[in-house]
Amino acid sequence: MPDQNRLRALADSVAVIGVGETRYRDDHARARRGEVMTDAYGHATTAFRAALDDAGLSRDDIDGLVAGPTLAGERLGEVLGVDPRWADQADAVTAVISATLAIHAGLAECVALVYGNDQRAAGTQYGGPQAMGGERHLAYVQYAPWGLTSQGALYAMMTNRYQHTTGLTAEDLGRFVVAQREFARLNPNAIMREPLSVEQYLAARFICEPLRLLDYCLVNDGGVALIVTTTERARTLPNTPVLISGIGRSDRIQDATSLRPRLEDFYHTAHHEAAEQVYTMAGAQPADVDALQIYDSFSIHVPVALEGFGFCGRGEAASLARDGATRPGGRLPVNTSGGHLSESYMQGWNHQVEAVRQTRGTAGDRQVENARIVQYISDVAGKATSIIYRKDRA
Amino acid sequence: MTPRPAPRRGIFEDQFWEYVVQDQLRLQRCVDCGRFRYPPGPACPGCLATKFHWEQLCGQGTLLCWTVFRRQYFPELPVPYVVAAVRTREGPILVGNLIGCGDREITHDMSVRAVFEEVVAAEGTGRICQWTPAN
Repeated sequence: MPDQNRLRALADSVAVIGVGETRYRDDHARARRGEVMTDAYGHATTAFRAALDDAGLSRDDIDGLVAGPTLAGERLGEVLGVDPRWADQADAVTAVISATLAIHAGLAECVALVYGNDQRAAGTQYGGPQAMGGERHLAYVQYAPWGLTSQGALYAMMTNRYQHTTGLTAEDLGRFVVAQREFARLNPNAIMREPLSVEQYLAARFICEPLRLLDYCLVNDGGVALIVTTTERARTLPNTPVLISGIGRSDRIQDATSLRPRLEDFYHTAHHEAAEQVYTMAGAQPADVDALQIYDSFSIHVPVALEGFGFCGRGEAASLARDGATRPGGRLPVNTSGGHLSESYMQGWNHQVEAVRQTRGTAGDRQVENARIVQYISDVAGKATSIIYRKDRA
Repeated sequence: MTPRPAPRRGIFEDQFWEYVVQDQLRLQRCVDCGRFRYPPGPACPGCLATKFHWEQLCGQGTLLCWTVFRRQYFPELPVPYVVAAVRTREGPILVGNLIGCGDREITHDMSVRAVFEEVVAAEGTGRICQWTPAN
């Protein structure tokens, strides 16, 4: 069982001090014209430089390196010219947790978390004969003889059962998508900035019913980097430190390939356990959260996570959508950059950057007023994970 | 006969498919604790025992959920087609195409039964277990 005494010693002891991203919008426009300027490591390098600049640090300050899952750790260190004293390889949320643990334990003082992806230029396939991810998630490839491979199709099946169980309508799902687009329209780096109505959402073609085109994330190229260090050192640097205040995780892996936790439980058991851990560690509750970033490879992640983490009761997420709670100016803004649906699909990495900017108060036109606590939630394939970011008391 | 993507292969998967060729839907069942397991694998997730037998399922189940593919991912599989998750009477959830519905409305928890179709995969002809309305 997680030990809250040890977790409380960890809470607020590590801070994010630098963030960097590539120009998603400009790069995507070029990629669509067939202009390939660089590869995944090039995007990663651009983001790394931006994060160092943002932190007010130089490369020599970096003594730890976490490479995103699309990159080879050795090659990344080679390209960036970094010889770390501690290194790891992880997805977005695990990278933040891993770096936090390493810094708290004393293995490193200043860790760079670096991600790059050239999925669009490289033609990465998320479904069909070349579907990626089967080596880590058997469900992504197990059912190919029946024509079922894409992650979107698995979430379509989940959505089908979830709608039957809760009464969430297509219009409700569309309201979450439109709310994120409204945020993207306030974000100059978002790829999808055209106005979107629920009617337009409903008019888009189905990919796997009941999911439509705009329920699916973008596929674009880019890079993201974060610099994480001790809170003590962070306080000597120019930016407002954003503290790692809470961490929660719970996996539902048993029967994962048969889809039982996805289709019967909507991962809510995992959500509840991760929620209890993250809120206890941070000394916070859902009502304290000023903005939420939810991993949204598909729109259905949002209502399912809102219910699982206690922002509303079971089956009540639709009413949050109808009330406009998740929109700009709403009482529970969600995916304030536009998220994976409308800003950029950086596999949860851009959500960390947005959480940091909102917590700092530097998110420009889309800034949530007086944001002090921003929570991140992901539940990819039943690995429910959450981080609470908190603004340092100035 | 419809062309199909080939199934995943392995020492436990192969046996599953060899039974399907004989129009038998069989899953591994733990000799020690009686738990079924799918996908086929080396040990019982219930008790970690490795002994098992291949128990034949009755072929009855209910429809947990489904999706209609509108985008074509496999060149050999024209859309639309329905992929369903079925709660078998014995407990395990199995995935297959829902076929033979005609004009019938597809509804949650409707009764379905297993049927076997002849298919063509890269490695030759074979059989595949599908699901159809039970009545």
